Amino acid sequence: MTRNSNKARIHVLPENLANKIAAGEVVERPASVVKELVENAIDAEATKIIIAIEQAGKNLIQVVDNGIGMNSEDIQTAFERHATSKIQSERDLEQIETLGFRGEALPSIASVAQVEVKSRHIKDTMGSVFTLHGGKDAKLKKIAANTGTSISVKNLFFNTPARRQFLRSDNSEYQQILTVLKRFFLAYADIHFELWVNGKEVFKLPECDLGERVEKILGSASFKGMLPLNASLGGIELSGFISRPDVVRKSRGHQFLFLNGRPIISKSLHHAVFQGYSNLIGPGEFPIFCLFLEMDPTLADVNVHPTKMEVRFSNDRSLYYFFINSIQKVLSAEGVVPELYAAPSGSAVQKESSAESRPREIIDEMKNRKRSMARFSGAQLSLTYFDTSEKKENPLQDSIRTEKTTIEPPAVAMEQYKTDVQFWQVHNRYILSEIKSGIVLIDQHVAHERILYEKISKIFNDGQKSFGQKLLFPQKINLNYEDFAILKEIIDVLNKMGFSIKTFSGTTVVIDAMPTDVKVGRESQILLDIIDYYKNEPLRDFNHTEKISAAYACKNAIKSGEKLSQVEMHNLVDQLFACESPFFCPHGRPVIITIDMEELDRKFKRIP
Amino acid sequence: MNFTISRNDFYRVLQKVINVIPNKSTVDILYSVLLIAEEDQLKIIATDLEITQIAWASCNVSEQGSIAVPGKLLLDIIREMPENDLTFKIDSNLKIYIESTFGEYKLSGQNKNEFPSVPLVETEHKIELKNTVLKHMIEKTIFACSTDNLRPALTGVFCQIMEDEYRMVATDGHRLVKIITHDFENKEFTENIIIPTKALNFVARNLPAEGSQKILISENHILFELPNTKIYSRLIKDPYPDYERVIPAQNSKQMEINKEQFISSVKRVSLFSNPMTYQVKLSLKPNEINIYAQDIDFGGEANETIACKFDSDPLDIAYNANYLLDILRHLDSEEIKFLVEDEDGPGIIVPFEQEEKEEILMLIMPVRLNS
Ligand SMILES: Nc1ncnc2c1ncn2[C@@H]1O[C@H](COP(=O)(O)OP(=O)(O)OP(=O)(O)O)[C@@H](O)[C@H]1O
Ligand SMILES: [Mg+2]
Repeated sequence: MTRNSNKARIHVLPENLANKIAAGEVVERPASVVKELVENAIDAEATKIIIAIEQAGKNLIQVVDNGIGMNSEDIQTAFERHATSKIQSERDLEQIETLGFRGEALPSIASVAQVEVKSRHIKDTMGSVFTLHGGKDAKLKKIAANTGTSISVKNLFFNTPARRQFLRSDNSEYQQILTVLKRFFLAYADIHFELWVNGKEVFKLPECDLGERVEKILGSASFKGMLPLNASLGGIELSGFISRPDVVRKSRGHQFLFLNGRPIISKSLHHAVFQGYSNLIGPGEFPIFCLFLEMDPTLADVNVHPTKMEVRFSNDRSLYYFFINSIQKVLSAEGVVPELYAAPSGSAVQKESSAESRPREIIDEMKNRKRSMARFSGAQLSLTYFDTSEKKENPLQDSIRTEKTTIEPPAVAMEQYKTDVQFWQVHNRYILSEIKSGIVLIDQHVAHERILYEKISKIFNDGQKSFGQKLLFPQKINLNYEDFAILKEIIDVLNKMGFSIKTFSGTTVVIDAMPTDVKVGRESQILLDIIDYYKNEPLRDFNHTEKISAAYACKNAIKSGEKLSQVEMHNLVDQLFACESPFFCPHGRPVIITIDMEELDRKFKRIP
Repeated sequence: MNFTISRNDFYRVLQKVINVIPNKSTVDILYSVLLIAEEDQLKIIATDLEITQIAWASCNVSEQGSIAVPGKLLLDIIREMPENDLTFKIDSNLKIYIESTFGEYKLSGQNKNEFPSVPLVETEHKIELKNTVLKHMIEKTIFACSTDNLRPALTGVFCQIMEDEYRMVATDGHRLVKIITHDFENKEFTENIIIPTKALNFVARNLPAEGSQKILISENHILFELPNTKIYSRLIKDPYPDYERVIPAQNSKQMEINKEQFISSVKRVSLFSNPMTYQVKLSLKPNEINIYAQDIDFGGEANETIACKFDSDPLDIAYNANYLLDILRHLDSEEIKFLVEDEDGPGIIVPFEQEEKEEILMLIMPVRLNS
């Protein structure tokens, strides 16, 4: 983040601009003072910030920084309402790059405490000291000082006894200060921080890299369970750490989210993270995370609430889905598969027993099975009417099965699978197979959904080519008005996916090509199905394209209850494990579960 | 009911009809076959309500009668019986007693009235086709039928009975086969019907190698009168699409190629295609064709070039390899002609030289790159 604010002098904002700033109480408790002062130090480009507090900030809050400082004139202006160096115009308000922008903090603090500011601007040789008593009795003196600023705030709320009364216990106020500080500690690993409480050093955090800082703040025990995350989507970068689903907390206290270096709280993004874990974590459990979102500041409005912690995103839907997706990707890649034996209370997935079944390994194991080429069975096309088993018994009968006809899958193909991996279809719904560590169960419908969805994502996100199978008899469909209106909304996306749909007069449409993976037999229904799904499924977290892709994926996927041949199962599993996140369907439902041998053995009482 | 029959005769008759029994049905009686003993004959009937097959053999009937018996169960029993005469009796409780040289076996049947009646095919419309011709035409067409039950017409083979030719057409909307025989004469009537694929499959299985067969066509049914068996099928009454209109009369670019070489090349290359789409790309160049496939997910890729006869402007077309192979495998001739106009339109595949009295044409729709 670049801060050009420092070149500007402090000035009082014109009234009309000042009125555009979210108003409200700035100083509620000691922690709010700490927050404002540290923000100012960071905005001043300090590389070292020392915070000292006494009696949980009720007696003293002091923040010393080595930033650019202020000259004697600016110090005085700084305490006027709506005086800031950080914005000039309304346009600046739409692209805030600094933590402060309201010019409210210092006057608000000064009005309810005794404030002393020592500062020397980087270009000056002498510093100044400025004092205010409840906002009054301003005194300014020249003194010798280091570059930077030191502000001390004494006897908070000394002139508003009712508010002082309302403060909580020292411990409680202190915890709030810590919460505020930890956010900055995490967000600015490149700044040296120190915290002194009642004369004792509590934190000393030299400049370091992010991982080290996170480890220091969250503790190495938790940090061991953290997975790095790095994702980007059209100029939006998301990075940081998320915990494995077995490393959870009972509160949100360990969830940190930053937007361009600003600690923020976003209901929807916190929820997205939670969704990313889907059913890997139980109710009342909260994953630990520390995530940094970097994006064009014009897309995010932080001028929503006086605490500057709430944000309005202009792209919140895609952001939401981007979060879910990024998290699922990390969890899948790291091989955190939902396991069947998650305790009924919904507690965390037990990882310790699965040293052998680390899903990363499951992916590798399943992928490596792709040794045979599961083709030429005509799996997709064959018309099989006769039971092969009967054939041998039946020498009398004249069969039309000659060498050339492919009415059935050639016997060779079937033979091949006897020696290869076996798949079993359970209730025409799940595919079961053996893996080294036990067994794996795959939900055929959601598996196929995931495959199709990723294929389409590749078309839209990675510019992969899409193909359409041309139809010999273009399909003419008369839609009702409602469906036609929906079709018009989605037709462009469908046509990019491989469809070729044209609208004609009235509400008639003609389809003359379809994506190559539309299954034979589903062609006449697929468009209506997609429209229906698009119309009825809420899919709030999906953007337009994603919603259509999801509709297509769901409607074209093999249904639960469809019988699959060995070859089809083989192909499905191969494709699934070639996916980026094979473990979750687009809605976040699990696709795969594994059961360890150990668990089976326990069930059969082979082991206690 | 009381009759005696040789085990082998019984087994053979039962075998003929057994495949008509549906694998899954909500109507329980369809799992049964109907045994009818009358006038020195045993008839066995199986039906799935679409197709009904009757087969018969002579036997010794001492008391006429009929009963429905679970078909597959009966087959399993008879298969294990000694190769001697078997005697069947029923009592008033619908119990069947089977006597062999070794002993007696008992199983339960169902009342004959529960069994669906055999369709009546009253018609003047009769044709006769040579067995070899009919079988050949069935083989060449049914593979191209659709399985989409929402488009019933395409699940059957369209048959056109004309004055001096008989045609069969099958398509699933991606490929199409049209086969015409001129080894046919029928001055009485002309008619277009759609016969379910499954029925034709049964017919082909039951056709003797030699001779010719009578086919009766009524408003809603077709009846194949075969030696010792009759196959009835309901006709599909939906309108068949105007297929002639979509077959291009003139595709200007022509490639001639050896079929076996082409097949094995496409087969090898398509091993590397994406197993969900089986897409292969053909690049036609002067006197050679390049076949290419790629599976992005697995990083597989294949490229082959074989000789052909082609002298038009180069052209790239993509196809589903399964469709292409299906078509090629169903052509008999060694050399084939492949006719295309552009990468978007249908491709026509025909034998280099048509057989005598026969015309066969196959059509395949391309996969096109989305622009
Ligand atoms: N530690 C500091 N070092 C250098 N300049 C400072 C420091 N603290 C405050 N300032 C200057 O004083 C101005 C007023 O600070 P104040 O915190 O009141 O407002 P702000 O940071 O601009 O906006 P906000 O009210 O959102 O915090 C700032 O704009 C900045 O120029
Ligand atoms: Mg500030």
